[in-house]
Amino acid sequence: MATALSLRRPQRPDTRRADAADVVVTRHHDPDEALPTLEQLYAGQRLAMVRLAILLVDDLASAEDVVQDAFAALHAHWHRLRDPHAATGYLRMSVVNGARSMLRRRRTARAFVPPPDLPQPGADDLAVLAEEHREVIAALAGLAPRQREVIVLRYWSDLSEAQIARTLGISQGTVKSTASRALDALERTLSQKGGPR
Amino acid sequence: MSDDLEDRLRRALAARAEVVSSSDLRPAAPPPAPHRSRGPFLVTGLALAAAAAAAGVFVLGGGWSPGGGTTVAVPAGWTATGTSGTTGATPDAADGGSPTSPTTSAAPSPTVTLCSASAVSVFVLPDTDTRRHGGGMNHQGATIGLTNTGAMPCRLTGYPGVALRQGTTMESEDPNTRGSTSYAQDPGPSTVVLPVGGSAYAEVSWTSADGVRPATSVDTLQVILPDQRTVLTAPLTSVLGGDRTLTVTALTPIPLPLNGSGG
Repeated sequence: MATALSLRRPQRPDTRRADAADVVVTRHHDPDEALPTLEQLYAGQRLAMVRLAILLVDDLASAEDVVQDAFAALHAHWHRLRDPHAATGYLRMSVVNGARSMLRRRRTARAFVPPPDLPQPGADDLAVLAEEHREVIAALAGLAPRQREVIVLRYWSDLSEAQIARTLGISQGTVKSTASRALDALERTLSQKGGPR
Repeated sequence: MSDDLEDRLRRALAARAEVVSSSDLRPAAPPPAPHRSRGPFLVTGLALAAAAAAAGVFVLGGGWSPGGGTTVAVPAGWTATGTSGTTGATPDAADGGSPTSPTTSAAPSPTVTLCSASAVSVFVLPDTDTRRHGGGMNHQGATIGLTNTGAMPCRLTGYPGVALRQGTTMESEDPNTRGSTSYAQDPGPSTVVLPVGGSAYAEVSWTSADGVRPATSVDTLQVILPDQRTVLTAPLTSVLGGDRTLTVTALTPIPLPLNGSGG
């Protein structure tokens, strides 16, 4: 198989630095069309995936770790991937799962620190954001992990309810109710914060 | 109303995500792979880098050694776990004001260089509702952040030198007291690796009560990196009194939890 071969013996990938848009997952499969190699996916999708991850875990170092793990997992499963075009979806799923584990580990670690409220890491990154954005991001961090995932996938990744359901492994109905509860919670938090001004 | 919120969400998420650009990412180049048991070099590299990133990070009280000698496995991040007083470097290895030996023997890795003052910027972490200084007893304090603005990860060990000025007039007295402040416990000196764009933090506190002299207002925080002499500044408005000295904790990879700041 072309893909397997190109994986095994990588020709030096052309140095054209693919942007996120460069490796697009096309829906229609042209048999002559070259399938993306893992290298191309890495070059093309890494930044987009890190951005997705940082919306879920707050700090860049953790986001990069999560994404590296996702690519490593993709590599391990590459030969089993029915359709390399589906790799982006697979990657996104691993990033979301990885981010969730990261948050869980962080919570566990926090439990050992005497005063419970450690500030969010990455607080300095937030300093460059406009105040109105900062409030939203802070409110987002207060959501339950699942709610946050749904919001990020919907409003940043622009996924449909069906795609979000597949990515998170939950039903569309759950996506809908989770999103609506998350929006309510955000609205409440934000109106409390920026309300009387 | 909800449309409004959705729109606001989209804009905030985009703004937050786009703070990260390709140049912020760790180098994609994999380490030279000595064994090629499976897969191409890139992917082996990925796995190694991922493992290294997941396992090795941050507060290295003295002996993180990168074993295999790869160069990409620079600890490029940290997790919130290891801040509890891991020590290793001797206290005198990190002298805020006086430039003694520029490196310590507790250097974590030869590939991570000492942060240079020209590639570090200082900021004061704003207080929030849940994490704040003040709260009576004339205690004042601030959380200082030192951000690596260079192109490579770098490291800092020990205590920064801190001072408060009004304009160019130095109002605080040397030397700093090193240890726990009115708000935070000093975990002791350790080496903090700052990823590109990452920050190290220290707590500073002082009193605003009249002391030997009437208290005075200050508008500038001055910071000197451990083992260096270049002065960095950030705006900080407060009142300084008492004996005019400052207490400072060692640098940590995350802001220290504050105690008794409920007020």
